[in-house]
Amino acid sequence: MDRLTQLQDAIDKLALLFVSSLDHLSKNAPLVALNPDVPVVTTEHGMPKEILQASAQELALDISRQAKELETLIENLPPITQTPEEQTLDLELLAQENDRATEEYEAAVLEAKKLLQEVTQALREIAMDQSNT
Amino acid sequence: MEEASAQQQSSAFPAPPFYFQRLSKLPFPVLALEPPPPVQSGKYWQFGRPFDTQETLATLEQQGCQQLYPKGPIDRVKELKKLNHSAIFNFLELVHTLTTTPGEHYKRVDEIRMIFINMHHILNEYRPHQARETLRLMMQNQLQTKKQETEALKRTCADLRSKLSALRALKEQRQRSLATINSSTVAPGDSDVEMTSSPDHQTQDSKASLVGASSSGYPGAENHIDANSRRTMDRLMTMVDSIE
Repeated sequence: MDRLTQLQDAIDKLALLFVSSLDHLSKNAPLVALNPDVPVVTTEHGMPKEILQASAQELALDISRQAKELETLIENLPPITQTPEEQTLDLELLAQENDRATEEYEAAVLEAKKLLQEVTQALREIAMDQSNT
Repeated sequence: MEEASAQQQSSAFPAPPFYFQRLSKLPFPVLALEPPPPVQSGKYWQFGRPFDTQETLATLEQQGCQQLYPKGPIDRVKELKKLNHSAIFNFLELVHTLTTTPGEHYKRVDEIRMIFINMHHILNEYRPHQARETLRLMMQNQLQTKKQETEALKRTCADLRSKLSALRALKEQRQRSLATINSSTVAPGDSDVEMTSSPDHQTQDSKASLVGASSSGYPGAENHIDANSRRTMDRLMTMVDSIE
């Protein structure tokens, strides 16, 4: 796939990872007592601490992996070698050459058609005379 | 106009566009009836939204965002890498502020947003260059295919022409040998007419009469002419096959 689109998709993926990791952590965090006098009553909210820490580790790994991928993609970008004016000049020259090549091609096609006519004529006459005799 | 609105109320069809009023006074103002010319330059409005005649990518300042990388010609790869690193760093700081002072998180979030917008903008600046490159490559490909096709056509034509001329030479040869045979044997009257009239015909006709002469029954030359005509036929068939 096109390198620029890949880069853009990788950037978007990184942003998505940021959002989803924060989301996951804040949604699944267990309850904590704000005041030592008010203890935590329910333990049914969110995931236990160990599992959450393991998933946080995984998310951090994902983010760093994505950032590394982004860096390799950036390195593989092709450089800009020509200014827009140079490019338009190139395109104009190519367009002129293309026109010339089309003219030559059409002339060759015309000649081939004429030749084909001659040959079919010859064959037809031979076949006719053979059928006559 | 009242007629038009009355019609609209009574019938299911809409009224004609009110340009018909322009045709109501004679002589017709022909110049006023011409559609307006297309917009050549600058801005124009279509369905209430502005459009530019020249599509250019708006700079970051025009879009209202801060530009984090330096102005002017830059090394895109280096700037993108720097932005990548600062994005990760800012995310780390975001997590830290969320743990310490969650109220202040919006500053970090805005920073991260700015960084991503900058990265995308750098990539968008690549796009026009890429489009022109693609066009250039496509045109080069087209040029190459055309040249190849022309070459192939010219080669086949030259081939065929040489074969045709070889056949014509062969035919002339046969004609001459037949003429000598004709003068040496006493032939019936109508075949004489056939043979003497053949040199006046086109080259193709003489080829055909060659074949005709083989079955009209010239005693000594019959087998000889028959084999030659068969060879002629074979060569012509291969020629036509190579064209098609």
